[in-house]
Amino acid sequence: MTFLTDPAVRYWGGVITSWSSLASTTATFVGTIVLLKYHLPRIKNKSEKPIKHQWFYSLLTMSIMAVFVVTGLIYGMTSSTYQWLYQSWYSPITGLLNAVSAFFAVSAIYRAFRIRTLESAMLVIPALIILLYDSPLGAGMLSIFPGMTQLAEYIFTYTGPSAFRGFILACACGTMILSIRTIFGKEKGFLPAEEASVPTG
Amino acid sequence: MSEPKTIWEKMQSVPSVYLQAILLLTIVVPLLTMVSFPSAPTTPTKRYYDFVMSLPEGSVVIFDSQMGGFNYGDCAPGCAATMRLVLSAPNKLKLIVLFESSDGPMFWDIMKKDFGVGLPPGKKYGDDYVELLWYTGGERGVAAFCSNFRSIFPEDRYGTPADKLPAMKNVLSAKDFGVVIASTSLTSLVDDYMRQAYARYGTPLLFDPAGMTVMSVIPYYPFAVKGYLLGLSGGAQLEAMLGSTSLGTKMGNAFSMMSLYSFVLAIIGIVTGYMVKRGRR
Amino acid sequence: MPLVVNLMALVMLIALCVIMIYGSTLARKGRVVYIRRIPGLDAIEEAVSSAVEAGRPVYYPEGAAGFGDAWTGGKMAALSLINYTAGICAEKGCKLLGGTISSPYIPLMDDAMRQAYTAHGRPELHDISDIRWFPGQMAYIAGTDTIFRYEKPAVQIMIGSWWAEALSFCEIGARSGAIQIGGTDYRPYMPYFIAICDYALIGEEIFIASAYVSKDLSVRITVLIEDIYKWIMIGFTVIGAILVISGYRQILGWFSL
Repeated sequence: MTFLTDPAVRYWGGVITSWSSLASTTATFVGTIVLLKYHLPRIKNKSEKPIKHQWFYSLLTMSIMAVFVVTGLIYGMTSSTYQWLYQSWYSPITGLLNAVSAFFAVSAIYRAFRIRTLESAMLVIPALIILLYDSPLGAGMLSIFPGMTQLAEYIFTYTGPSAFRGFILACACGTMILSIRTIFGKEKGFLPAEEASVPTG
Repeated sequence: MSEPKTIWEKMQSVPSVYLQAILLLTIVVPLLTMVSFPSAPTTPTKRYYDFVMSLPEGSVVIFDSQMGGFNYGDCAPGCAATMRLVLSAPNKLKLIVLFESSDGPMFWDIMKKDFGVGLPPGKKYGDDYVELLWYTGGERGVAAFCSNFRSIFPEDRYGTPADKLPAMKNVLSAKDFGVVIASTSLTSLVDDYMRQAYARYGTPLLFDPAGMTVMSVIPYYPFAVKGYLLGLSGGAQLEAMLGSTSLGTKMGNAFSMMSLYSFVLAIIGIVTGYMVKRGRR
Repeated sequence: MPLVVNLMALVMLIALCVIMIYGSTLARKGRVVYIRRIPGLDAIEEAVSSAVEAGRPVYYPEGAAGFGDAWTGGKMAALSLINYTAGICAEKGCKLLGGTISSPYIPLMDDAMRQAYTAHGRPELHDISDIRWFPGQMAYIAGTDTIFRYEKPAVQIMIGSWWAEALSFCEIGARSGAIQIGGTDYRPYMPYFIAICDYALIGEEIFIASAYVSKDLSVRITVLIEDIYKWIMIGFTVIGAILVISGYRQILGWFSL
């Protein structure tokens, strides 16, 4: 479908693409079944493995999952009830944990930014320039010094992307090769042990 | 580990909690006050603005919002500023908003409320602005609506059929999009639009990438990607260019203070590291 | 309208298939491929030894990237490396803990670990409860902090498809003094591993590493195929750059997608 313009090919390609997006959603059900298999025995046996009071955390997980699923099924995901649940429980916790990474970043910056060699200087100095360029006030401060904004934009537009284009090509190659290895049955890492030992030629 | 002796060693072993406490202050104080920091819009932000303004009259702008609980802070200022920009542009653009995930519509409503964004006078829902639902399947979903828009979006978020919405009248595939703007923290969404919209249909792209995702956008700039907003900072810059001040400006100020603090901390870290190493020789 | 569009992409895909057929031929003839040492991979054995000395487990969280989309390659490469790491842990008598947010991935990870422990005659060292599931990216961070607090792994190996949680994981590991080996094919977060981890695998090295640990010759030969393909792309890039600089911009039309 990507290469041929024949209307029939395009039509059936579009149909299959729609089916595949449905198929990917059903993987969620697989995940739910795996979770039930994982947590329900722990609740039943009042398990203390792997951490103390594991059964309580498993019970909590399953209860919250049940609340969201039942609410979504009865009231619908666009209902105000479901939205209240989501906005009151899930979003603040997610936002909070996402915000934690800012604090981790600060201590990482203080510990990791060291200039020991020429290479590390070449890494750290542009990083400091971009750190300023990235913010409105910092960009304003950089503009005070002649040429600094242009230097920051040069790093951002030419040197950084050039390196990333190399990464994109290399990672794309790696992904393609791995995918073709999988299609031809050469990649066996994801197969169960019995199937992995069967030679595929 | 031996006790730190010199001032440099003591500075190097400052507990992280003190550094993080100062960070908290640098974030909270600008959010509580409205200070006007000097700022200069960067070239990609200017190009983002210019490209929207240069679209032919009546063009359809598709806005894909991947804003959720975890990237609301990064994406919301850009989303709000873009909505203001598109709906107030003199070239009578039509804005169609769709979502990458099921919590998208919820956060879109929260964003509109927090940033005070709505339909300007003279604009009407259905004629100039439409909100759709979310699509599933990642790249497969993008491929599906780029080839047949109505198959994925037969009606809007409120159940109105697409045929009854003038803004969606002539939107059948990516060939009918004037531009696709995506607000995302996912590199995969950048690549999805590159492969499915730009590579197949030549649709120009604009992005509002959050944080590190901007590094995925830059390799395609300025050819396929005509401009981008640098996360929260870019959203605040665009808001300043539009002459409005809202939560986006405060968030931009907080981000500026945080970046400045990180810069100072990095310099102190480099200096203390050098002085400790020199002292040990 | 032409019958075929995206001609250049089709030509490159056919070229890749031709090179793969050539590679399969070489594999059948028993051609040995030299793959350079990857320091991060070699460090796994040393790191596991230090975990055994400390009497603490090894922790291999795989990345939060989705399963079934563009990041599946990285996750599959991670499976091969989990199997490899589990083999080393089994040999040295060390426990391997796993972590994931993708529930369909749990049985795959369990099988990779179980297979390795059983092959080394130490099935008692592995249990499915050693694989921890977390409901989301942010819960993954909180949960890993808990693992480091209670179980105190001596080594953290983060080779897979990592997203924004990478920085937090690196920081949690660094604070507890664990040896860290990381790598991701997700380019925005590569710098975190390079800056913070003791050893980092950069980009496609995670795919090379998964081929390196495989004993199958036809898998190792795909590294050679990848290199040939990359040289072709480098050749096109250089020729295209020279022609465009010289003024032959028509070439851009041939190579446009």
